[in-house]
Formats: sequence, C-alpha cells, structure tokens
Amino acid sequence: MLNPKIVELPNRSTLFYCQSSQFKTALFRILVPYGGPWRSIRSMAALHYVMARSTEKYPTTQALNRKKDDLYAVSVSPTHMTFGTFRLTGYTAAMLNSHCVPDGTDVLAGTLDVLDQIMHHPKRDARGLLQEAYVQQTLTDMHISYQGVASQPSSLVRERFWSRILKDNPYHIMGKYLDYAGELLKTDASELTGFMKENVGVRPEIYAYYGSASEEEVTERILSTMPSPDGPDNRDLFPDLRVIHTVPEPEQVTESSEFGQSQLLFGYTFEPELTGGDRAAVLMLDSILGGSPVSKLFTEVRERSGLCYDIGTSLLPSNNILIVGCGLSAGDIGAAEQGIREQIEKTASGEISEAELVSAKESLCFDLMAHYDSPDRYLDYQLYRFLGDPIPDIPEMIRAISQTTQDDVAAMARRIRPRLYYRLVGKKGGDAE
Amino acid sequence: MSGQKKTFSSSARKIRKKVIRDPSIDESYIRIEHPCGLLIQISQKPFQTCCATLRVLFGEMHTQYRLKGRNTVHSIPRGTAHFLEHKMFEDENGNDLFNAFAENGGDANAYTGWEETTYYFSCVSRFRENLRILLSMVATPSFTEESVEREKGIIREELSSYLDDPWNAAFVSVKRNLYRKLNIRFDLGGSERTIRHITPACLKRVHRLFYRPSNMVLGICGNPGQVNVEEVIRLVDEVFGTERTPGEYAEPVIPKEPADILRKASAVRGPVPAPYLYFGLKYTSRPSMSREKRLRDSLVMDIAEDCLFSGSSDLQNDLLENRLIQGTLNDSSVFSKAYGLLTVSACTGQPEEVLHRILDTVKKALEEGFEAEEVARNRKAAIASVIQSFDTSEGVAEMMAKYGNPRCTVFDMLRVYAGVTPEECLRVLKGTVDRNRYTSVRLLPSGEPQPES
Repeated sequence: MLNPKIVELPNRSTLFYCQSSQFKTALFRILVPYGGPWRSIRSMAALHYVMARSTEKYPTTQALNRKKDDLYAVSVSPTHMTFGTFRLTGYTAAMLNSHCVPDGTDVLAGTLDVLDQIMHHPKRDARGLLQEAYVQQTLTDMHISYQGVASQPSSLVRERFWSRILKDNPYHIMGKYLDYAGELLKTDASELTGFMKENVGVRPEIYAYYGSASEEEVTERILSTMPSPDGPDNRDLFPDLRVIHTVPEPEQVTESSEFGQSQLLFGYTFEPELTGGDRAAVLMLDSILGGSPVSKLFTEVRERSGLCYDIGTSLLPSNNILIVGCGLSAGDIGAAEQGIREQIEKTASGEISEAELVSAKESLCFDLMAHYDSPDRYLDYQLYRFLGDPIPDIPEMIRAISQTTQDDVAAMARRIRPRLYYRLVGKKGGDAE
Repeated sequence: MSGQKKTFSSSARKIRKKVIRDPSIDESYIRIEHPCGLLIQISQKPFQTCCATLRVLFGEMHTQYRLKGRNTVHSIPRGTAHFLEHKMFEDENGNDLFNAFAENGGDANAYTGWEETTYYFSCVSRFRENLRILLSMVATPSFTEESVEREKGIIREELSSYLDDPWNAAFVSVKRNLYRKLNIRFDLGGSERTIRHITPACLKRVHRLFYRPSNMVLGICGNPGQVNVEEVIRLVDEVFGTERTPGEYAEPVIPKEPADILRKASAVRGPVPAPYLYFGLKYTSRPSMSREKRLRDSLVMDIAEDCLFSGSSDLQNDLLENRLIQGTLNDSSVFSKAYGLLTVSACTGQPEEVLHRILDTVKKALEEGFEAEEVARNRKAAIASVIQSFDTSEGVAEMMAKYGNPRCTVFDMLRVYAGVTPEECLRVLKGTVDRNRYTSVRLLPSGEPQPES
C-alpha cells in the first residue's frame, strides 16, 4: 500500500509525492491555479490556447508532440482543469499530466522543461506569444467544441438541465456552453494576454509525482526548473459553488427535440443538505438506486420492463444533488417515470434486500481499492481531499461503507427532494404520455 | 526479446504450459493449452485488482457459416452476436448474472466487435468465484421466448441512440462507400428489422457452434494470492470438461469483398456545429497471409500511419498552420484478416483542400518513403504505449486474451516495434494501400445546402 507524502516546498508550492516502483510508467502532474475573472470563458480560452498551441520553444502542437515522443512519454496532456468549475470549492487550475516510461532518458527533467515552457513563459512575456492567428484558431476550436453539446441528445439534455438548475449561480460553466460559444468569438489577443499576466503562474502551485524517483530528486528538479510564484494565495478568488439548494416545488420542463430518442434527466436534492459525514450512506444509496447494472433502476426499468437501454444515477455529493438519467422512446416516458418514482419510494421505505446491500458495498469497496492500481485516480482522490472535499481517506471510507446499514440507506433516501424534472422528447416512439 | 520458454506438466496430467518472459521489461506470463481447446494466458502481478477477459472469436461480421465438411452456407440475422452478448448475462432461472458478480465483488461487462465478442470482470477478492460465474455463463446460457422478446426492446433503444449520433452516421457512410459485401458497412448490432428475426432457437444454435472452448481465449491478470494457476485449470475442467467435446463444428463464411470501391464521395447531414470531412481508405485484403505476418504488418502499419497522420506529423502541422482544420486530425485503422480500413477525419470548412493534402501525403509516402527520424520517434511512442498497458490489470488481461498466437506473443509486439525501419514501413504501405481506393464523406450541419459532388 502507498505511503503518500504532502511536502511544502520552499517556493510556496505543494508536492504530492508517492514513491512506488509498482508501475512501469511514472506520473508527473502540475496544477497552476488561476483566479480573478475565471468564470469568464475567455480566461479558459487563454489557458487552452497557451497550453495547447503556443510557447516560444515549442511553437506548435507538432513540436510539443515530438518532444513527448522523444521522451518516451505516453502522454503529455495540457488541459484546463475544471476542478471546481462546478464541483467543490471553485478551485480552477491549468493542469498538465505526463505519463512517461523511465528507461534511462531523463524523463523528469524533460517533462519539467516542457512544463516550464508551457506554464510559465506566458506570464513573463505573453506579448511575443499570442499571435493573432493562433488566438483566433483556438477560439474557433473552442466555439465549435462548445456548440457540439447540441449535437447529441445525451449532451443536449445535460446542457438544458444544468442551465435550469444553475440559472441563479453566476459562476458556473455547465449549462452555459452554448451561450459562451458566441462570446468566444468576441475575444481578442490583448484580453487573453492581460488575463494571463494577472493570473497564470501567480499563485502557489501543486505538483504531484508518482514513480520510483526519490523525493530529494523530484524536489530538486522542481526547484531548479520552476520559478517561485510571486503572488498571493487568494483562495477567496475561488468561489464556493458547493451546494445546490432544495426548492419548495420541483420544476417541470418538457421540450421537444429533432432527435429520435427521448431523454429524461431528473435532479434531486437532499434535505437536510449533505455533509462529509453522510458520504458513505449517500454513496450506498446511489449504488443501490441506479449506480450499477444490479441497481433497482437498471433491474426494474431496463431489465424487467424493457423500457430503455440506458438508465442510471449520477451523484455529486459535494453539490447536494443526485441525478437520474434515461434514454428511451417517447411513448415509454410515462411508464419509465412511474418506475423511477416507485424505486425511490421503495428505497425510502426500506425495501432493500440483503443482496442489494452486499452488492453495493462490494462494488464501492472494489472501486475504492482500484484507486491503488491507478496513479491518476489515486492522485485525483487525494487532491480533492486537499482542496476541501470533506471525504475521509480510502481505508476509512471503506470502513464506513462496510458499516452502513439498510436503515442508513433508507433514511438517506427519505431526504431526497425532487428539484427538476427535465424531459427532452424525441420523435421516435409516439407521443409522450 | 521474448525470453525462455519451457514446457512443464500439470500435477494431474500433461497439459501444455509455457512460461513466456521478457527480461528487458521484467514481465512474464503463463500460456496454457487446455485439453478442452481453450487457450489460457495468465500474468501474475501485484495489483489490488484482478481481471479476467474471455474473448470469443465470433462477432457481428459473422452472419454466414458452413458446417465443417459441408458446402451449404447458412445465414443468421445481423445483430445476432451482439444479441448473444446481451443474453449471456442471464441464467436458466432468468436470474441476472450481474447480481451474481456483484455479490462476489465482481464488476462485469462485455462488448461486441466485428470479429469477436469479449466478456470481462474485475474484482479485488473472490477471483475464483467470479471466474466460475464468467465461464459458466458463456458455457450454459439460457434463452426463453419471453426474455428474448424483452431484450429486443432494450436493444432497439440502444440502436436508436446510435442513429442520433451524427459522427457515427458519417463513419457508417464511409464504410458504405467502400464496401459492397462485408457487414461492416452497417451499424454494429443490426437494425430494428434484422433483430426481429432473432429467436431463442437461432441463439441456441449459434451459441452451440461458435461458443466452443477452442474458439475462445481466456486472459487473466492478478496477484498470486488471488490468481492460482492450478485453480484456474481445475475450474476450466469443471465448466468445459477435460477434453474436447464432439459435435458439429462450424466456420464463418466471410463474403469475398471486391477490391474496388462503391463510390468516391457522399454527404450526410446532422446537428453538428461545423462541417466535417471523413476520409476512408480501403486497404488491400490478404486473407491468405499467415497470422504472424499479418500481426507484424499491422504493427508496422501502426507506425506508418502515425508518421503520416498523428499529432506530430507534418500533415497535421501543415493543416493547423494553414488554418485548414479546426481541432485536430483524427485517425483510426483496422488491419484484420477480413478487412483493412483507414479513416481520417477533421472539422474543416475547406474539405476539398484537406482531402487533397491527405491524398498528397499518401502519394508522397508511397513514392518517397519515410524519414528515419520520423519512424524512430513514432517507434518510441508505440513502445511507450505498450509498456503502459502493463500498468493495469485490465490492460494486461486484455493483452493476454488478444495475443494468443504462440509465434507472435505479447512481447513480440515490443520486438517488432523496436525493429521497424523506414524501408519496412514503405514495403508494408505499398502492399496495403492503393491510393485510388478512397472515399470522402462530408458531414454537414443540418440545413446547410448539399455540395455538388
């Protein structure tokens, strides 16, 4: 089992260090937090552009990819990290993940070299980098990508769902992709440059390493390559998006679409709102109700009634919301809704078999143990905890799940309050009832 | 690179086993030819999770077959392989076997491909119990009229979701333009019409003929505390028997696909935000090629394709620099016994120019070959990708089930990649590609006028 260590570095950054020789590839990750007007989609465009396209030393995607291949790196993937654009505390960061095969090549130094070029140069000399053509191309890429949410019923229904539930929250991104798509094309290079100078590489960063190199070696490499961020921590720049509150009456929305298949997306909040201590019970509820192929919804609505192919729940415990989603023919909407209601009621009334309880525990414990076989998943879990998600460490979580009873799950189900019933009715399968 | 191989005997009787090693990456696995015909490959590694993958060499392409020694060709409805996969998770009492896995901490699933169907599970404990469920369910499935009819409703919804995917529609259109006979020109899973003809009798027959142990490979990866080689052999004994069972044997009949293509261009519409170009190249089919040669050539083609179309290729850079595409160029390929296909797609407002540059890239490679530096770099990337596959139990189990050829092992992949030269890339490319056998499909936003073709 791992022995992770959180190291505070002299340059005010934090290193998650995991020494392990179990894996053939090493993982190195860096998170560069940025705040300020982060909720503006333009700030994301700036990050996206800088990381994916342009630095002085690696001027194009091709050069970066060539550097990666020469390093025996399986992936060097710069991304915009949406840690918190919706979940948790609103912490927003640019992230670069690197999986490398340590084969004698100086992978760590090479990766840090790439990181340095990508992450830090813009702060110091952004003018020379933001060429108009690249900016426009990046913004158009993002414009198309954001508009793409309307291309399939499963993504369109999510966009519409979130835009309803989060309409009063000025910070969120979800549910606004289609709106932001238009805004992107109004952005110019100087705006992005200004944003980056003020925000990128200013706040203390987070590094994570998972591999066989020693802590001293990793620390030395980081400190010799990466400059010290000179700005304040400014955690208050990361707004709290945590909780979606209960409403007195659920909203009912039915819209039609040009697609064949219909989609249901129902949102439920919990009352009282979820806390860290509720985590084991609510995970069990999610698993039993719709989180697996043996869940009540899958078994009853799909397998027994044959009403759909795709049905399940997704849980965002930090946001106090549980979602039920289903893709089906329009003529089956009424029967499916009835089935969903019945299964929630049965769970709340304690109709939970011993087999369902055992299966949910086994499934969740398996999932938690599987974190130890994946450096990426393990680091994600630990980073969420570090950034404020009130969850216990993996062994404690496994213990809490093992001790959860049918009564705990039923009590959690009784806290469910409907928040939004959203139906996107397609053309196939007759009229919705 | 493949290390020492040795044969030793099981405790009870002679079973052919070999330990296959690669000291250069410190990996090994055991290859077992079980007397019932099942090939078992086991890698013991210190993961928390254990994984077993059972690969059945029967897929959606196989809609015609001939009984061994007979001439009559029998047909089965399109969608049968996928239907079987769905129904395999139900026992004779109508119980859902996902429950059985879940009660034992197993997380199971399956998927159907054109040439195979794959069943798998992962767990952290009770590996033996989960393996028993997996083997038993594929050995003794149950098909009742009622359950088969109910499953049709579920599969209809699944197929309906594919129809709502515009990118899938464009991909299918590429295949329809290139292929006249092979089933791959349709959506995987059949259609509402074809699955209507699937009956319990049809499923039983197909299962009996194709779900034979000798038509399967079992790949396993897990820690030695859970995965015991002798226990696995005993379980296979119990479920499949200790020797090959007599009975009818069938072989799939793959229609002979003409070398030429059906049409050079077409267009489809969908709710996409911008126009896309899909390019498809029909590879020369060589069904008589030996398995080892085909595997080797497919690995060489991986490198050649990466040189031409990957993120580090000159073509992709050229298209981005000249603002001819948005996002990136995406490529994928198949190089199997039955068919070979390359697809390249991109979001572009200038499809003719992009198509021209793709064709020009292929032409240049065929005439001038590959640069050594380019091949060396893509070789490194390919090797790194294989090595990373050894970092998860699922990845290793999948490799164990996929690479069952004794003369081309999992480790030979690394050896082949390491030895790929520019000359070899050119040789395989020339043997595979006729640059006139291509098609292009334009995926247009709904409402945009149809281009003149």
